[in-house]
Amino acid sequence: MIRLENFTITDNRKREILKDVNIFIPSGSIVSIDGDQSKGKTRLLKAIGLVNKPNKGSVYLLGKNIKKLNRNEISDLRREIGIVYQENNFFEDFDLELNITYPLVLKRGNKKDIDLALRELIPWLNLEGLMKKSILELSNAELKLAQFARAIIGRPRILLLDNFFLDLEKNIQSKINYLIVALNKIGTSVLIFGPKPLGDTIKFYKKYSINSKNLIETQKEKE
Amino acid sequence: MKYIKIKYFPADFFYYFNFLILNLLFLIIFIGLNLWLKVSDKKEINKSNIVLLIPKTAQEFEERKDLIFNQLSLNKNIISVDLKNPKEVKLILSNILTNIELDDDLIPEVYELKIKNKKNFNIESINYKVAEIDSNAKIFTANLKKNNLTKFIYVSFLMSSLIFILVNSLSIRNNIYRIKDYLAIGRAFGVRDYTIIKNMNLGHFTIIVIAFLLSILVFYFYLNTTLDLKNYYSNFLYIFFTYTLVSLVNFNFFLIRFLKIFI
Repeated sequence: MIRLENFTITDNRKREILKDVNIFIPSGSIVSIDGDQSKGKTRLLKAIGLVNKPNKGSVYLLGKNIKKLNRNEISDLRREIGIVYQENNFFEDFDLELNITYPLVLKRGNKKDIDLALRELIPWLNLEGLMKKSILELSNAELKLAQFARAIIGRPRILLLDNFFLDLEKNIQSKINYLIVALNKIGTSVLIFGPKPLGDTIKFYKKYSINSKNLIETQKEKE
Repeated sequence: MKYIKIKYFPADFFYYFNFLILNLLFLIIFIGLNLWLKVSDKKEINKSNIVLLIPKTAQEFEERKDLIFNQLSLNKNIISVDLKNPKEVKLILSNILTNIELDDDLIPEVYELKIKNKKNFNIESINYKVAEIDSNAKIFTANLKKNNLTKFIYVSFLMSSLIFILVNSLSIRNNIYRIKDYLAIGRAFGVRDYTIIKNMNLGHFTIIVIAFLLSILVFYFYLNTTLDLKNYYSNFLYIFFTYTLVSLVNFNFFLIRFLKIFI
């Protein structure tokens, strides 16, 4: 499902932050990747999310080597990926509903299907009543949930969360945990970058930590 | 409605309003210049550029000239006979015969004939009658002077086109910069280049069509009493298609370049 082969990424100063990483994440698994600040978690997320390219090595997603894909094939692959960024990248002149449904509308989504998806998803995230509000009127927690909604409304096969559980309220975390488990049951692989959610609802396939420019399994590290 | 905005008009209202006004202005200029050209051309077609040359070297030049004018006055198709300025004629000939000093006696008298209906004017039969009086005198068609107004309109067209391309390019670059976040998010969520390009083109095409319709309304409002605008529909369409083609080619050049380089 997700395979990194001799994967290397650098920072803005061309210093290697991850070097020759080789990992395999099977489909339908939930993985956490942790590490100290500025160790490369977000850059790794963006490389897997096809936002940036790796400096060396290969990334295989859903069986495809992304180096060999053309622009249309990369677009098609991106449809299968949902990303929740640490920063908010919503449009201030759209209301919340338009911001969440924007990618679906552009992808020729049927209006009825989009409305149905919204009706099913929004109550889970306590966003009812906020859909017609401007982005500027929402709190940080609400914006995080809106990002999550936008990432999963298209039922992605890979979900990437960047520091999503940082400063998230417990009751909302538990709801999100159940949503992640539900997505996982229908085959979505979930990669959680940064702090892990509280509780035992989510069963992780593996837990990694970024250390010494490599991804190290934390269970092995403990041993 | 909101989905239409997302897909085709993602930028803010004021950008599209400014874009509409800009296009309206340029369409009014181009259509106006085109109408002006057509109207002045029509006037020119009926003007005669028929010329009578009478060499001064013949014996009894003045008497022969009078007889020729008498003959011409019998032809009701000839409205007037105007003497061209001898200095002008000398200048034209001097430009052709460089480094040759022309004597004034060598330069023929040149008259421009104004004809009512060029089609009914038989030059050959008139020339036959003139040749009977003076075998060296002759009537023929010639372009004595270029219409400065037509030149002016063509130059205005060219200048306006250059200004339009420059302003249009700047406006489009500005627009693409303003909507770059929409394009980036769209691409990040798997929207294909083709879909983005198609949607953006449809949006801009709609604005150009609205501007065109408004410009036609402007001309109808101001000119319909003086001109029968129905005769110029094909001109309007020609301007519209050319304008739209240039505008969209320009737009796609910047859009595709932006997509390939930055997203």
